[in-house]
Amino acid sequence: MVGGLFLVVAIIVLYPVLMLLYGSMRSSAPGDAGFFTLQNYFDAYGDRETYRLFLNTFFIVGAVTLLSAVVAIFFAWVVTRTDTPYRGAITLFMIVPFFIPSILEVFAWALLLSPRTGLINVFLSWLFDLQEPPFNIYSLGGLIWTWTITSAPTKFLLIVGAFRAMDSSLEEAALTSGSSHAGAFARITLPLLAPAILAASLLTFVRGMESFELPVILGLPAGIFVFTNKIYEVLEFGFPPRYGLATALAVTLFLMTAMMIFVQRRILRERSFAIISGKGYRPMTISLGRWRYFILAICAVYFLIATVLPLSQLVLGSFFEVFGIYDWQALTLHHYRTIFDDPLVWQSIKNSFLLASAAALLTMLLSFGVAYVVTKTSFALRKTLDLISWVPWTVPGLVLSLGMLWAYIRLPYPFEIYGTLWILLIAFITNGIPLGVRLANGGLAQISDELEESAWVHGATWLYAFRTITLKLMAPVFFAGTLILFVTFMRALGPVILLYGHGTELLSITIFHLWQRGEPGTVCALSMVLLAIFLIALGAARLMGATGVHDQR
Amino acid sequence: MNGKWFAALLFILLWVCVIFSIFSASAISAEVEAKARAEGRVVLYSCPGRENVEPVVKEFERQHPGIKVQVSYGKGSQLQEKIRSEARAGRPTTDVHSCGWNGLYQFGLEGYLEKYQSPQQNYFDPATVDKSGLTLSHSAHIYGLVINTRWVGAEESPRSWSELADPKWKGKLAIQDPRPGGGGFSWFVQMLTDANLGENYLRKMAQQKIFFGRTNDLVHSLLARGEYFVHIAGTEERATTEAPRSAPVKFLKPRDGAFYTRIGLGLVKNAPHPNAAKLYIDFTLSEAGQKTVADTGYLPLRKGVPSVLGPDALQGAKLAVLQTEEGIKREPEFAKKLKEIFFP
Repeated sequence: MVGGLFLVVAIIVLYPVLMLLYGSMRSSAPGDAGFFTLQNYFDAYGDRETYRLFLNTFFIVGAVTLLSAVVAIFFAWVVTRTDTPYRGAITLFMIVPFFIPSILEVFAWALLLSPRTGLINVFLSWLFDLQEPPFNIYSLGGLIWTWTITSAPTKFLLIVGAFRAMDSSLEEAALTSGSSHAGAFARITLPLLAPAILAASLLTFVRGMESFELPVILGLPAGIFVFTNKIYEVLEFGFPPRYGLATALAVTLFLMTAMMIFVQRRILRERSFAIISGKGYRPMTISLGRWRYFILAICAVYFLIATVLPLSQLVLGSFFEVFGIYDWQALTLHHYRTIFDDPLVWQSIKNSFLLASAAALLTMLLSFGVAYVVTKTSFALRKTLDLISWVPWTVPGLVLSLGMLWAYIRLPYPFEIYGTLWILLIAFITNGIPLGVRLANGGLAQISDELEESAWVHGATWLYAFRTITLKLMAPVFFAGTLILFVTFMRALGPVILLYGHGTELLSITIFHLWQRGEPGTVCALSMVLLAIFLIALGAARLMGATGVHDQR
Repeated sequence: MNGKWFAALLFILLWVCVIFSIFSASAISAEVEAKARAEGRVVLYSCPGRENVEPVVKEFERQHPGIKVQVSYGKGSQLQEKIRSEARAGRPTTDVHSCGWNGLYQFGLEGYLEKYQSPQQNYFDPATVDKSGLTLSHSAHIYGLVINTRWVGAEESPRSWSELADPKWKGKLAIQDPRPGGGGFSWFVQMLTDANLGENYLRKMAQQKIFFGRTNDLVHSLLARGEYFVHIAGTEERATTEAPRSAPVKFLKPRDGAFYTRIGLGLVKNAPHPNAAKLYIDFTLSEAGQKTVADTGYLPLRKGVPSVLGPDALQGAKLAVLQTEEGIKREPEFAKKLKEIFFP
């Protein structure tokens, strides 16, 4: 069974990537007449600019990873370990941006902080009588700020479960032994949550390394280049696009990720992070006294800036004819009418919901299988399996989409999946495995082996022990993971951009096309509808206890 | 036989020829129509958006019941990669590809388009017809200056490309990023090859802190809300027919030469529905099709079809250098120059 799982994951993940590698070592695309060559690699790594961009990327993505970690840890601590008032609302405000397509958030920030007409700049210039606008979104600061703000909710979602699941008796012991709250946080809470925080940081870093949208939208106009700009340039600036060169460049991402995994293992090796053990525990909240209002004030200011402002910008955008011109006479419901009258929008919503739900469930099942084999068994190839599960994230979405097109367009009858929803389903699962496995790993690493072992000692079969102990304990992580993957798939664009066809359009693709044809107002209206649907889904999930954010004791 | 009889005979012969050709043409088109009906559908991969394509599709389906048009929209590079992959795998699914002329023509030169000369092209200005038969142009974009009227009054409006090099416009100009091609690159090549402007002018423009936006629509949206004052190489239809009432934008044809680019159709090689594809292409180029194209805001290229941009919209505008054989040959040289001047 384990061998079968290994085979399925290896085929799903490696087949398209191997097609890409094959393409990168040929003078033409697979299927065309050509010959073996390493020219793409010489072109990629013989260029000094590649190395400069690489250093730039390391600095920028590193800064974003660090800053978003600080934000995520702070909020996870506030909502799970303190008695700050309105923790439910704080959690909701923290995760709402996760449901907004990131391209829109970026655009909202571009509007808020654009030098001449950005609302924040206009307001501050008026207030302090400034001659020059205080902020410019098209700058290094603007890029890092927007990137941090947009990646913090994902990171929060990745670590909040671990914060909540942690046995607080350990902190309590430290406090009883005379440690301060800060001391207990630094010496107990943080080290215990290191796997979750490190895994989340690693994910943010790797995702940042392959992220296209932000560097392209905000970086290119400002002349700020990161590694992915180079790949974008190769793919988009020139005819025909040089996919071979892009793949050769993407090898750097693969090496970087391998290095990150190595570093993670070196740091965490020989340390146990099982915090759900056979012993009972009860959650504990720290009483902050009067400080809790101060913490609440910090949260309120952060949300006002990070969530309310960009969201308001999008709401405004959905009701005005021209995005950014707020003239009462230009108030309109046209954008809402457009989406409600458009059958393609509804077809896309239907396809997206169907596919994202199925793919999220299947990915999470597969991911749990992988994570279980990696963390709880002595399967000989478990480290290889772990490494394979990272691979899809080492290739930028658009390039991976090409690998899947090359790989699946040739499948013989009866597996002709090109042009159907099946190819999109496989694309989502492939793309989702890294996140799914990381989420499942984070959960499983916290469950002590002694729980299953004690069941075996008492005569339970492996299946019975697994079903009644591990599976039950993992249910909240499973549902939370499924929800996170569902939203991720709803927003995913790169991995499917080359694979959709007539009748298989997805919401992310429709939003992208609306955006491209210069209809930000319609895109805003669509996001409002989507946000409403997501919030209803989130409410339902909270009722079922799926998000792990429901329990604000 | 005297001259009168000879002339009468010639006249009769001529008529016989005309009637025969009309009948044979209609027999051919009836044959194509019958085959197209049997094929039942056309698969179109389109760079132009739905607002410009859907009305044409609807009208086509109305006039040719039984033939459905299935459209997939996307960027040229992505759609073309799909067509390439389909061809390599021996599984073509696309019949017609529609995109900007340069990309389409180069795609044709790669061998992915079938040559096709539509009889409807007889009604087009020969200058806009691709003699190779690889592409069939149906409409055009006119590029000029678009200004924000809230910031730029009638008195201070720039009237020519050359005026934009004045330091007073520094930090106030925006253009579509020329590196991936598109309108921004067409403008660069147009200026570079202009005898009066040329490289010197472009080097002055490189000092103007021009904002490079990812798409023309994004630049237009930034201009409309007042972030920039002048959109270099904005399109007339975007600034007039497609702009909302409240957008304070105005299109100006520069004195030193507006230019236009063509949008074309190409019949994909080994198209699974070739007859339906030809019928669709013919329809788009027909009078009815071109009227529908015009209604969407695009400038139709067929002679005699009125445009919402006015009867003289193309007057004074030159075909973009980049859309000529010569321009395509020199494209790598232009791209190198662009990097040297604007992105050193």
